Amino acid sequence: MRAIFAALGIDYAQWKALTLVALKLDFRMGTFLRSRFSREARGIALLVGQVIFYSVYGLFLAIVTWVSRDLFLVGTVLMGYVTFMVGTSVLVDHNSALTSPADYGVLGFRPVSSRTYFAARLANVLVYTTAMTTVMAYLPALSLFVRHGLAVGLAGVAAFYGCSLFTAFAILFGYGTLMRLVGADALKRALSYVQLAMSFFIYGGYFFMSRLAGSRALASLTLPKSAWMLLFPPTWFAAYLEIAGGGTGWRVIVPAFVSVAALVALAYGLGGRLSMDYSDRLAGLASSTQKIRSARAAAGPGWLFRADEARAVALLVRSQFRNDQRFRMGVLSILPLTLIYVLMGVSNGGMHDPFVAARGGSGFSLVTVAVVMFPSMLKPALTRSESFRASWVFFACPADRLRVIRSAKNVVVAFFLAPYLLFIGAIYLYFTRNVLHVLVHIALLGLISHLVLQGFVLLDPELPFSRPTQTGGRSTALIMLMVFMGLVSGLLQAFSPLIYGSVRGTATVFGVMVGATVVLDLLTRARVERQARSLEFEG
Amino acid sequence: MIQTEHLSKSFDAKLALVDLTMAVEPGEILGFLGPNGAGKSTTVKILTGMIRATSGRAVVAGFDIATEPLEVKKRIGYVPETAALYDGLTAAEYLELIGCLHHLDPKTTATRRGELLELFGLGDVQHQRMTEFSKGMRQKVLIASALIHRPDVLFLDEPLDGLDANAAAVVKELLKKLAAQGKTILFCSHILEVVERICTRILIVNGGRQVTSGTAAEIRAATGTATLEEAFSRLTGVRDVGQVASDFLSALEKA
Repeated sequence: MRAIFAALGIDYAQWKALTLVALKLDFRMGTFLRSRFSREARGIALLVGQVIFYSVYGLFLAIVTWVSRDLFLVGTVLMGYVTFMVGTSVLVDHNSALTSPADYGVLGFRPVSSRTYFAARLANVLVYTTAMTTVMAYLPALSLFVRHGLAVGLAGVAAFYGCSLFTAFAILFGYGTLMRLVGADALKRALSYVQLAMSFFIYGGYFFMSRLAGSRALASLTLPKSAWMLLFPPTWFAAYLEIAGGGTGWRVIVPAFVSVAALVALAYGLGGRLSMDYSDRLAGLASSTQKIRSARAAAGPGWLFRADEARAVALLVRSQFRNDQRFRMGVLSILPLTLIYVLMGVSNGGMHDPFVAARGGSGFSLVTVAVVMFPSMLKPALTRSESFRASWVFFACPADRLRVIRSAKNVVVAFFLAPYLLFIGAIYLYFTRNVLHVLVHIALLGLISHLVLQGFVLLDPELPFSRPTQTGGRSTALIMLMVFMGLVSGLLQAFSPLIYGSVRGTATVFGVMVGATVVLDLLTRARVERQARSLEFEG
Repeated sequence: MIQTEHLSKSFDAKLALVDLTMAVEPGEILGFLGPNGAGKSTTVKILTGMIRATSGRAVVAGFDIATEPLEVKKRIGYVPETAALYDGLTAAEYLELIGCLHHLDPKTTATRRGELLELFGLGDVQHQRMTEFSKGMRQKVLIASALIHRPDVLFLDEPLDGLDANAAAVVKELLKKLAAQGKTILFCSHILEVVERICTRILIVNGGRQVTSGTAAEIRAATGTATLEEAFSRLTGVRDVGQVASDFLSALEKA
């Protein structure tokens, strides 16, 4: 092992030490949770939860594998999910793996070569993605072995890890290359937008694949190898299964060859110049903060939040959005999802006027999933921050914690949720041209998403930016939310005729929503008042 | 102004502070000393209401910290040991945030923050984000944030950390003048010369327990030492420092 590392220009002992420490730190940060359980117990619970979650996904994939005889369809579905899961994890949890200058402050002056340092960061990401792939793939792999034989099973295992590696490499290579091309400072400022673009690619690719595979594939349980399909990277790895199953022809051989070539090229690219001057680029990123940049003219926290705790929180949230890439990304990551859902809605026959469509039973479009998900993405973004140690001000100042927590929720509603709903309203208006109907629909969506946000605050009433960031759990939570909110949206869809079928129905639902909002507000107040007394600074 | 009775704090099984009883009067600057992990920061965090004591009682500015924490917090200023602040904010915005949390009206906050930042030499950079600030500049912002609401009691945990010699001199003089005005100051530091020079009284803790209290002269006399540094070493259980240094050297040579 040492010889291989030495040949690659990596100091094995340093690489091992750095990788282990990074994993240890991630685990500790992930379990830095206040609870009546010990940190270790919480850490194990978190891991078990993730194993169960990915296993359930794996079970679903194993069933698909068992049912279909078309190895190309099976492979494409399996690899599509791997790409989606690994891509989401790298984008959400490990987006700063290569671009964070934090380590540089600790290691920059140590005798660690650029290549060793880079390899340790890369290994850190790959440990997560490989573990995730293993847990997600063991059931479908078993299904492949039993249903399709040893050769296909082995090809499946190779495809799983190849596809996982390809996805992680491709995203990290993208970041690294951008850092080289646009410079550290520009990338730092643009990072959240780069991430948005990559998110769009990952989610979009996933949905594009499902659309393309969609009706025809499900009807016949086969997937045609169109040229368009073969542009989708998961199909390259799916070809392994076909080859192992006896498939021949250029539509099978070429994609498999492309997958290997792409992996080699990415590995070469990452191990080559990107790793050679990695330290220099990180140094650039670290020192870019030294350049004097005046803040934009202070616009103030807005007329809605004029005094005391509300003004303080508004000031802080606005500033964090401007400067904290994690927070900005946490907020903006709803946009690619929304656009994908809009595109899917349009491709499903357009976004209908909810009142008119109610008669046909499709008052709530897929966009509802995004609207209901948004608050659940906002809450962790608002609570967890790398600046959590600075939250001592909320503990040492005479601020009313109940007001701080409620203000944080209100600020998020005013700054992010309301504009987002306006954006959704504009999309609906474009398709429906009925202002009144759209206003009512958006008001109802607003009440629902506000209710969801209240629910999250009630469950976990925390001061803003007061808890450390977590590695490894966010992407799982995001994917679980996508599934759960999809179910909620489905329920709303089912009740759509009742809600929009008559004025009385609509008014009743509004009444229930407002009532629920008031009840949740009272519950939150009681819980926060009780919990606020026991909150202690953890920095 | 600051009074504790049998104050204790434990984190799980670890005792961080044991039975601390002390009083600091208005106009006093108490040098609160102890080796690393002695319980200084824990005491300060309890007295500022950031964490709760396991047992005992603490009264700050006339209010019990356990039952009336907000009343206490209105009257105290705090400079934490770690210079943690929301560095995405500008210095002006940060002080505005603190002003809001202390319920100062925006005009008063604006006036005072301007004055304080000018006094600390940060007037020109007050609209720059603090990510670009040096450690000393951040420390100045923290000190300004501890003073902006004109507190009666100040808790300063290594307030001179990172400050240049001129700024440190200004802060030392400022503390003396604030004490002369009747403010109560609890001053934690590892720089014993500074403590000896500006503190009216010294309290030393070790292993979470109070080991002595008195003026610097009283402590020197009680321990039979010539300097506060020697007294501190003796009281906190360190053997002859020269011998310890020699042991270090031998260990390094062996390795």
